[in-house]
Amino acid sequence: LNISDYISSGIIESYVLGLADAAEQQELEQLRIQYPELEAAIRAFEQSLEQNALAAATPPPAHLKEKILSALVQEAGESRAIPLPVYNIPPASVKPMSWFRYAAAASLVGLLASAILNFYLLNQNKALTETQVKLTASVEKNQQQLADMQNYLAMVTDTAMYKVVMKGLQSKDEMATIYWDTRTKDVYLDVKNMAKPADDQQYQLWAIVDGKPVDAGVFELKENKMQLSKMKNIQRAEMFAVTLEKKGGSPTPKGTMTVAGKV
Amino acid sequence: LGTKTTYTEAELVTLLKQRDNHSYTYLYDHYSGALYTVILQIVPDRDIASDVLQDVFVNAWRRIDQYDNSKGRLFTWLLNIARNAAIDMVRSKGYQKNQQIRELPNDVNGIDTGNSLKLNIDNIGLRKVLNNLKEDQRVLVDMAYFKGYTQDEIAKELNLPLGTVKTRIRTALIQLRTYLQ
Repeated sequence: LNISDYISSGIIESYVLGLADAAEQQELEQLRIQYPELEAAIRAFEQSLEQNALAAATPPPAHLKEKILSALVQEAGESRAIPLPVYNIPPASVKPMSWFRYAAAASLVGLLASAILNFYLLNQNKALTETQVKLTASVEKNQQQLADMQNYLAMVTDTAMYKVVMKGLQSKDEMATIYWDTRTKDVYLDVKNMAKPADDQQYQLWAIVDGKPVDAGVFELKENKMQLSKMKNIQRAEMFAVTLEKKGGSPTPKGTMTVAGKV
Repeated sequence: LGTKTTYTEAELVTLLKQRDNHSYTYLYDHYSGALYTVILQIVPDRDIASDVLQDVFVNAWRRIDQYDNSKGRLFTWLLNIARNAAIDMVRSKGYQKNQQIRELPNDVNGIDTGNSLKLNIDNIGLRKVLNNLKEDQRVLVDMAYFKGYTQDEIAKELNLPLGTVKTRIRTALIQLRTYLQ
């Protein structure tokens, strides 16, 4: 699949406007995960569509705002009202009782009902607190992932970022990419696929300057593929390479070179 | 008190999912105009369009948990809810009956009261962009986007091969991106 042909095929517009069929939607949703340039193009089209629509806004009648917002308040009320269970107790056939017996029976029933209700409310409260803790954690996690993704996208689509692809020397599957900021000379590393090192070992990045390796920092493999590692600032280099060194790094490269790429 | 006047999209979505009142007011202030235009382009009657707009916000409230940022921007999601709600309205039996009654006096007097409004609406937003397209493409995108026909239905309606319909819509959509920028 040629991704740039795909991007300019009209499928993005069709998807965003809700005209794509189920198979097309599914295909696009898979491909956007694999191709950052497709993801960026979708976001860009959505943005221009939104700007165009905001510029063409027609103010709705003034009274409508209050009407709609109060409709939402009503929605809120309906969804909050949790129906309490209703117990149908069949009337028992009883002999006439004295007022004392009635009162005792009534207070027992009242006590029992209150105990049941308390138990029910306590459990409900516990369940709600648990749900809330879980939700908060999941929201925070999602927000972090989203922020990482947005940073990643901003980085890979920034035209001032110079890209150096480092290919695997030991295994073809291994790959990492350097994003080198042409303004600040900051170096960011995007590991696409690299084997997990042994516990006493760590990967180290080198910039090759005038034929000599210059340390650009050690790094850990990230769990989230969209998280980049910020490496040392490198003013100039003709090549970048990664070697496997002892934990904490080495002043000069001694270990095996895993990936490398020319600038 | 204590309400922010701008939110990032992520902040806004988090608050909307908590059913925070202020965030819905913000949503309304920010997007109701843009959505109202799109609805009017499908349902020209202002009163009915207002009802549709209300449905859109109630639906957004009910379905906000299903919104998934990885599949698109918040506005894209709202826009699709609005478009679907407007098309559903036009297709409803009540609306169709009403239209027949409305059209009669207009024909007799030769005056279309909604006309001045309609003209305005037809030359802004996505409609305006569509007006740049060639006639044979414009008709197809109009049927697909504003009338909600499937490509199969368009092919049958216009007596064109399905392949032709697909190609023309795709070609039109490719140009859309350029015109929007």
